[in-house]
Amino acid sequence: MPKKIVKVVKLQIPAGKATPAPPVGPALGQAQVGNIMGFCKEFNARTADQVGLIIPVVLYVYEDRSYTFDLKTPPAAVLLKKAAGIESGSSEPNKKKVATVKRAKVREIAEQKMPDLNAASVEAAMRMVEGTARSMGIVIED
Amino acid sequence: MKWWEIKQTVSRNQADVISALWLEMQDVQGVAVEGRTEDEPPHPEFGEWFDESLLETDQQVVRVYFPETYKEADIAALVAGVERSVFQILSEERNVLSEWSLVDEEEWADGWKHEYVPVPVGRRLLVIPNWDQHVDTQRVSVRLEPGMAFGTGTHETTQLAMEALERITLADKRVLDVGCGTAILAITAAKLGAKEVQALDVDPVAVSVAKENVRLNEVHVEVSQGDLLKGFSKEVRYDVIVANILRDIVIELIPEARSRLMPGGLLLVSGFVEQHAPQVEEALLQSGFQTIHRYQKNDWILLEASYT
Repeated sequence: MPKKIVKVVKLQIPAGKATPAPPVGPALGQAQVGNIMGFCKEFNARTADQVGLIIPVVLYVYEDRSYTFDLKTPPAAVLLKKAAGIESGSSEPNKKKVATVKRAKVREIAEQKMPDLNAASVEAAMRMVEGTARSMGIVIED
Repeated sequence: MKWWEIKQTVSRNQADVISALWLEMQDVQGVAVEGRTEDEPPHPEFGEWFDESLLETDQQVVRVYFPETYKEADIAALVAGVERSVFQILSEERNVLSEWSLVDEEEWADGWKHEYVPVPVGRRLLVIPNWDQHVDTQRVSVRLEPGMAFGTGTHETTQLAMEALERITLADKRVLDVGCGTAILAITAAKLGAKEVQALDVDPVAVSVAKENVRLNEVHVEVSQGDLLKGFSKEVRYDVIVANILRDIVIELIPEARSRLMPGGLLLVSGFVEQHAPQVEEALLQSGFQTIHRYQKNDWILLEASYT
């Protein structure tokens, strides 16, 4: 019997460190899916190898209030920060540039993100990653 | 405790940028985005389908939280700053709808209780939420007030550990539950006849939930706070040590556990998935344990090892 999905919520939370505090608690609580610690346990076990990264996880909530989740690749912004070796992006991305990343690295990030992007080609995925880089004050160079 | 909940209704393009901006800020532990886009293909492996109203929504709702120690003016300033950055970055019209309010932790902490029902585990056990009046004379009941601690009887690893305890003759045995959470395993051991049961957890919240559950079940379990076995009496030896935690923590525990087991004692470890089991098996071997049983539920594993 297929189960009907009634709600989709994407959380972006630190790998291996989910707790019942927001945003996990309210997201699960509002969906009334039960055992918040159970989710934290599952998420932490499955992301134990990626501590230090923010991992998006998509929760699919079914009609019977059971749920499943899908781990995604880290957000482009997180991968860009790691590539650029910076802690945070620019507060004024249009005026103040904070780092430079090679186009080859952008391609690598785009390739890593491909399974989660609705991009027809790596070039299209690269354009999405470049957009994120601009929003952070990161300059792309050849 | 209360939290400021900032809710922003945004376009699909804006959701990613807004999430990235919020994630940069101190005190933000994560972001929740509700609504589906074509960028998030559904997860059809079990034959699920989507409610049509959810298919590719144009708008998404971003939620982010700050502790109540923030003043409302601070929250308003943060929101204004994020809106300004989004419009600058995307050169879009000002079409973000932002709202904020104080929400109480209780609202989400209790909402799910309505869905929680008694869960039969193994051949003889039954986990009953404390607010349920259910009485079962055929099974051994474990009553729980799960709250904010792990171990409600619904998770595969908890069930694996309860079933493993059920298979062992516990009468006259001394049992230690490390990383006890709600103390569901310690209580199970006590109810199955163990002579002496101790439970440890590093989290003071879990310790207090565990003590409450021990009281509810009218069993004798000594619960204390501790980081694995550090500082825990080395004089006492156990017949059974059970730990349902996480792979890396279990691996850290294994050598410590060896010195606290009686010859021929059993170590039950769970809390990891199939792909991580070889690392745990290797750690057991390194510490002189022999894995005698391996149990599996979905892709979760429990290893039963003996030390001779």
